[in-house]
Amino acid sequence: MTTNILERPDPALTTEENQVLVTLTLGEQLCGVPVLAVRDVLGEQTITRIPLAPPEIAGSLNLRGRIVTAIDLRQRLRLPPPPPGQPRMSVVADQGGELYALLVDQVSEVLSLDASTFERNPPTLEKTWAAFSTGIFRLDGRLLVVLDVAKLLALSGEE
Amino acid sequence: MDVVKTNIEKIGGTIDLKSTVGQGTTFTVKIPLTLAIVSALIVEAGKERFAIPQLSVVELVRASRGAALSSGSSVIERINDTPVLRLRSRLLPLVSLTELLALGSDDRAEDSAHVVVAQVGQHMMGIIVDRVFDTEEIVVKPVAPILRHVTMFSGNTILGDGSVIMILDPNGIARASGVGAGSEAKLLRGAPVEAQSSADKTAMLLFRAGENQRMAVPLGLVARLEDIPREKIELSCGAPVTQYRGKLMPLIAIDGGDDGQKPTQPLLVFADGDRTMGLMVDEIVDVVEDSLDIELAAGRPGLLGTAVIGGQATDVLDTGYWLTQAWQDWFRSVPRQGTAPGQPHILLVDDSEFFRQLTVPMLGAAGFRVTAVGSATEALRLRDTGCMFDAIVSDIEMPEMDGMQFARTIRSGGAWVRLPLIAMTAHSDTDNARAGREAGFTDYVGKFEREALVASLRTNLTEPVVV
Repeated sequence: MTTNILERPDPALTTEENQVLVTLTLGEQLCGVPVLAVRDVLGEQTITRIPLAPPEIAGSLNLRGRIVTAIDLRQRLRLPPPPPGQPRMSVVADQGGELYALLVDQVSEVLSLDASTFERNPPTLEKTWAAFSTGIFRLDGRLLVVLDVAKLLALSGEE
Repeated sequence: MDVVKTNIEKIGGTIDLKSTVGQGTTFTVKIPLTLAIVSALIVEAGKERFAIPQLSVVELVRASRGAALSSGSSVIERINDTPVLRLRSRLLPLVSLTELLALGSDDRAEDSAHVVVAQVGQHMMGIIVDRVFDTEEIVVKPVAPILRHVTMFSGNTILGDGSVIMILDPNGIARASGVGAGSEAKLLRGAPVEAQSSADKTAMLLFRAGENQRMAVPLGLVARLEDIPREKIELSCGAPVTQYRGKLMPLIAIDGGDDGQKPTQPLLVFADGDRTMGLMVDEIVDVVEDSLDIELAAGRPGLLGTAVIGGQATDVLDTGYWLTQAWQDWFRSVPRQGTAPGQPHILLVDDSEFFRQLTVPMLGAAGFRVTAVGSATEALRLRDTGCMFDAIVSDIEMPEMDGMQFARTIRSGGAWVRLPLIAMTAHSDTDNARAGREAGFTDYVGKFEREALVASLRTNLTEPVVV
C-alpha cells in the first residue's frame, strides 16, 4: 500500500528511506499523518455544531474566512469522548478543494522516520483502525500509527 | 449567446470564451459577489444560532408556550403534542426548530417563544425559535460535500463576529416536517384550494398614466401589452382607434394619457371574447406580486381605490369602467359604492376568468372577502372539504354543471343548504328570474350590475354589514 506522501516527488522531505509525519495523540495512542497532507495546525477553536450531521462531524469552524468542517477523530476511530473541558487541537487537511479539520487531543512534533522501522498493520488490528491506518512505525518505546487522511475524510462514501 | 453576454454584463459580470479547434470551448462566467449575498434573519434555538433567508420569512409572531400572557397575545396550542398557532383566524402548523434539528434541551420552561412565519411554495408554516436576533447580509457558502445529505441546510456562512452559522432551508424544513405533504392539509383546510382570495397575492401590472400617477391593474385582466407607433392611431367618429389584428380596436386615454409627444404609444390591451380595447398609458413600469387590499375607495370614476403595492400607494384601475368607455354595451356602468368595514366571506362561481378577475377586486373594495372558483364542481368540492361562506354568487351559464343545477344541488342538502345564493346572468329578465328562484336562488341580478350585486349581497347576508 502506498501513501500519498510516497507519490509526491519531493526529495527534500521524503525519500524511499524517510517519511515525515506530524505526530498527534488520540487518547493514549500516538498517531501520525503525512506532513504534506497538513495545511494548518490549530489550537482550541470555536466550533459550531451542525445538527443532524453524522456523529463524527463535530461542526464547522472559521479558518481565516473559510468554513472548515471539523471531524472528531475520536468518534471516527470509535474512541470514548474526551474528558470534558480538555482543550483539543486540530489538523487541517485538504480534500478535493474542501478543507477539513481533524480534531485530535494533542498535536506534537514533526518526525522524520526511517522507512526501515515501518511495518504493515498487524492482521489482528481492530477493523476500524485497520481501515484508517496505512501502517505502523516502531519508535523507541512507542508505536506510531500512520493515519490515512483520505480515508478518514471519506465519510460520504460510507453512507 | 449575445443575449447571455448582455444579461451578464447588465448585472456587472463578465464572460470569457476560450476555444481550441477540435478540442472544445471553455466558457468562464463570472458574476458579482452581490448575487450570492442574501439578507437573512438570525435566530437562536437550543443555544445554537441559525440564519433563515429573509425571502421566505413572512412575519414574526411572539407567542407564549403556556397560558396567554395577556389577552390578545398568541399562544402556542398543542393537538396531541403537535404545536399549532392561531394566526388571524387560521391554524398555522408549527415546527419546533429545537425538536426538528434534535438539538435537545427543548427549554419549555422558558415561556415566551418566537414564531417565524415562513412561506414555502403555497404553504405557510411557523418555525418556533427561542430568540430572534437581527437581520444580516450574508454570503451563502455551500456546505461541505460530506454534509450534502442534510437537506435542512442550504448552506453556511461566517457572520460579522467570525462565527460560523448554518443557513436553514425552509423547503427542507417543510419537507422534513411534512408541511405540504398532506399531513397539514387538514389544518389549513380550505386555504390551499382558495383559488384567489382578495387578500392573497396577485400579480399586478404597474404603469403610469395621467399626471404621472402610479396605477395598477391585475395582470390577469390584461390580455397583451403593446407599443404602437403614433401614426397607427386613427380616428373613428372623433375617437381614437387602431387597426389591431385585422380589426378596429377602440383606444381610451386615462386623462392626459394621450400626450401626443412620444413616437410610440404604450397600450394595455383588454380582451374578452372577440372584443378588445386599448388603454393608452404613459409608461408601463413593472409587474409585482402583492396582495390587493384596497384601502381607500376611489373618489373618482375609473379607479377602484388606492392600495399599497410594492410599498407605494397605487391607484387600482377599475377595469370595468374603462371597458364601458370603449364599448357601451360591454356592460352597464354603475356608480361605485364605498368600502364597508365588515368582512363577510363570499364564494364566487364563474367560469370566465376575466369576470372573476373583475369581480374579486370589486367585491373586495365593497368590503367582502372573496373566494373565486371556476366551476360549480370546484365549488362543491370546497363544500365537501368543509369550507363555509356567508353567501354564494354564481354564474348561470357555465359548462358542465350550470348555475341552475348548482343551485338545486346546494338546496338538496349539505352544509350550504341555507346560504344566500345569488345568480348572476346576462339575461336578467323575469322568466329567467322565476326559473332561477325555483332552482333555489335567493336573488337574481344582471351580470354586470355591480351595484345591484353588492346591494343584493348586503340584503341577503345574515350577518348585517356595518356601513
